[in-house]
Amino acid sequence: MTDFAMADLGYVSLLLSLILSLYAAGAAFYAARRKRPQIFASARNAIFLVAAFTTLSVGVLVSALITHQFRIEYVAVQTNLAQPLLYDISALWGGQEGSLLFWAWLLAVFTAVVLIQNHDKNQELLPYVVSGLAVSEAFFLALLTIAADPSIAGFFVALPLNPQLAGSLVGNPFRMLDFTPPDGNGLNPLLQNPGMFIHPVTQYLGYVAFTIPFAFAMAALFTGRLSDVWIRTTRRWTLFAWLFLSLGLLFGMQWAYVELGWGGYWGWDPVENASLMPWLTATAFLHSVMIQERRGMLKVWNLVLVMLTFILSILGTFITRSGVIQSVHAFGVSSLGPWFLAFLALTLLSFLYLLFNRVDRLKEENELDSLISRESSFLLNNLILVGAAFATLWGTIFPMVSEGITGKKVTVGAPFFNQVNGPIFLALIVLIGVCPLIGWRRATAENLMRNFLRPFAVSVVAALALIAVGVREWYGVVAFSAVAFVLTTIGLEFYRGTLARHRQYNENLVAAAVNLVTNNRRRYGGYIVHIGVILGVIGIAGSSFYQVDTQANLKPGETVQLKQYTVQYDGLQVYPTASHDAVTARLTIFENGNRVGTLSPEKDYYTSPDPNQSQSTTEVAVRTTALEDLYIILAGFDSTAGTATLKVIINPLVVWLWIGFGVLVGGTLIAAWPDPREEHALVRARVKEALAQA
Amino acid sequence: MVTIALAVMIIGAFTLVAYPYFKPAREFDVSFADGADPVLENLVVQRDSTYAAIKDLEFDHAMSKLSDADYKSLRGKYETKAVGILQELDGLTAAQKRRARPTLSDEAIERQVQQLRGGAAKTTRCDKCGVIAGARDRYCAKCGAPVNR
Repeated sequence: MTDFAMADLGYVSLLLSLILSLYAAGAAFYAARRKRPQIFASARNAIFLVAAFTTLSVGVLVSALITHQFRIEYVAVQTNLAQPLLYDISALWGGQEGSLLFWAWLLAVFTAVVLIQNHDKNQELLPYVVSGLAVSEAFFLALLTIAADPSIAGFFVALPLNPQLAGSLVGNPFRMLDFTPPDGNGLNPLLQNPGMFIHPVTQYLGYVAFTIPFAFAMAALFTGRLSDVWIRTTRRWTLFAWLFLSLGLLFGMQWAYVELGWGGYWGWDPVENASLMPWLTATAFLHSVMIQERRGMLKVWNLVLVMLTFILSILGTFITRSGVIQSVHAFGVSSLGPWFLAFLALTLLSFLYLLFNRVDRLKEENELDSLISRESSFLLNNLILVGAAFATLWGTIFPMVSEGITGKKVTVGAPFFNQVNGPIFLALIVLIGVCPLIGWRRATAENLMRNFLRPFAVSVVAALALIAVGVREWYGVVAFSAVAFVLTTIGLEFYRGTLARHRQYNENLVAAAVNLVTNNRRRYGGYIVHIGVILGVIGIAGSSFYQVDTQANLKPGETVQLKQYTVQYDGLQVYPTASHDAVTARLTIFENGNRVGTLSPEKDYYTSPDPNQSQSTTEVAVRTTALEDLYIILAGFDSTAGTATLKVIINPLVVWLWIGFGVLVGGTLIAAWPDPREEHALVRARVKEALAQA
Repeated sequence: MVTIALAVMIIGAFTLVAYPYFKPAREFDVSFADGADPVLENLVVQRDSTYAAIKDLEFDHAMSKLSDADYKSLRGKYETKAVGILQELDGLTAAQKRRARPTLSDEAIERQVQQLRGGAAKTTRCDKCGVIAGARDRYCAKCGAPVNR
């Protein structure tokens, strides 16, 4: 197929998808208002067609990227002949147009899945859910097909057939060049990392999946069906989205750790913050829905949280793509910002309008039995999480705000975020430990004392032990003793639960422990997630408070010493690869005088037909143990003299951050795993409905 | 070639979207309603959350998070609440009940559930009071006697 044919096929698929999405949005809404099943069936077909056509469009773009159809501008910008196949594929989400297409495609497929999942249930909500999802889909498809650069065409869509405006279609991934370049620029070298293959995918899966709970929330508001049905229906979507937001954070941090080469994994960069904010509000949502399900409270709050999470997800994309805030991630700066802002404003206004109109139906069914109860600790947890999200948001948008007010862009850096969020997160960690100790509804001082005594004693012992081994930084001592406190409470929770089952059902201890988790998946899956978070905190605290580093310029044969490690520089190695030139420093590592292995930090030089696009990247070398990472950066070199400048860092306990994420994923899967009793209840409900209609 | 492909796409899409309009409404299994009366649904949700609250109280008491006195007073409170909700549910007019959840016996529902779950139509009754037991019940929901299978 020629490049023109591919571009036409891809673009027309998107244009058709846009028309079908707009139709589905209107038809599903009208069908529900007028109770017209034919129209809803037609809207359903339109949704399935959108999923099919966007899949076709993605297929066409991937095929063009792999076969290097450089006449298509996106292909010429994102790939080149030397690039490995893996990065030809990941170029799909490496640039703005491609990532918007990826978003639209995921949303189209998710919408089709929602339709299939709900073919025989939620019949009152479903048409409005479909309508909302189709509007969101249409927004992204409009960006891909007809959205023009507002600075060229004004704030109006540009008809693609108008040649004068065709060039201003900023989001079209199938835009053609006037000529065929012999080679392309290639994907930004910073993105040529296996972590970057997976990070955007997980991040987008998380962002996009949150559209589903939000669409159900809007439908519940619209229909007035404001019981917890929408929450129970979307529970797995919420967990799915949260899991992928978490994985997005993990892979993003790993990428920053090995690819950006500054020694850390988190720098409070605006785009990092953009991925953290929806995660924080989504975490708050996952907790507060339990209060609504159990107590019929926090109904408005839950709606607000799901809206905030959705808006913050879109804001993340807006920040990454608009270039309004300087960031290491702003790979595709463009003029789509106003479109995103308009969409955000419209969503927010519609939500507030519906909420205002339904406030009388959102009365709380219960009130707090006691100020010291698990409910109130959940409330506090929510305030802390949302507080952290807002503090992060404020720091992130501060440059924009300051520029608007004073005309000067004032950037707030890591110290601000550490100072504000550090204590907030410490409080959160303590709360993770306190919360399980407090019973639902009411706790007495006597019970609290009994439950708190052992964890508190363990944390005091941990603090004293840390001081005894020479740890003096008070924040490190506080953080680690908080970690000990939390791990003890969770351990006790498992222990007591197992004993309770053992006594109640005469099960042996192993069976009781297994049954405890399998029969209370949500509760104990949640506790396992908490263990994962705490392991992560160990990694963060260790690497933040106890990092040590040194820098040295070495001739071959010379060594540099850092704590127990001796790094011997053996010489430089320069070699070309298909896509870049690599310079490697060969190092031998000794620990307490014993040779433990070799490391090779690297600098890669990527050349491009466009000299402005030529770029170098740093590939760090890391030796990981359970206690610490030896992290070495080739900071500079002189190839004629054969010398190298090495930055050597010891990052204590970092591996626990990655292990913590693994545990978190395991816990989430346990919590999300279908419960046979839940399934039984569902079958029961369906039979009841079927018999009722008979 | 591409023109033909595009034409097929457009015509195919139009046909699929238009097709349902030519079928009679009765052929579609869409009611645009969840079959529940909002008042009844609300009461059922309240009833279930009150049951869940009692279950939580039992669990927290077993895990020593609630004192005996608190457990007793809270349990009493939620039991009174549950009774109130159940009375309200009973008090709904017969017409409302029919519209929302027709008068179906638990037995009829359980039988259907058993059939749907692979035809294992064996139903178990309580030896003591004769009430049908759920598939996973270990104790009778009515009298509390152990269920023998």
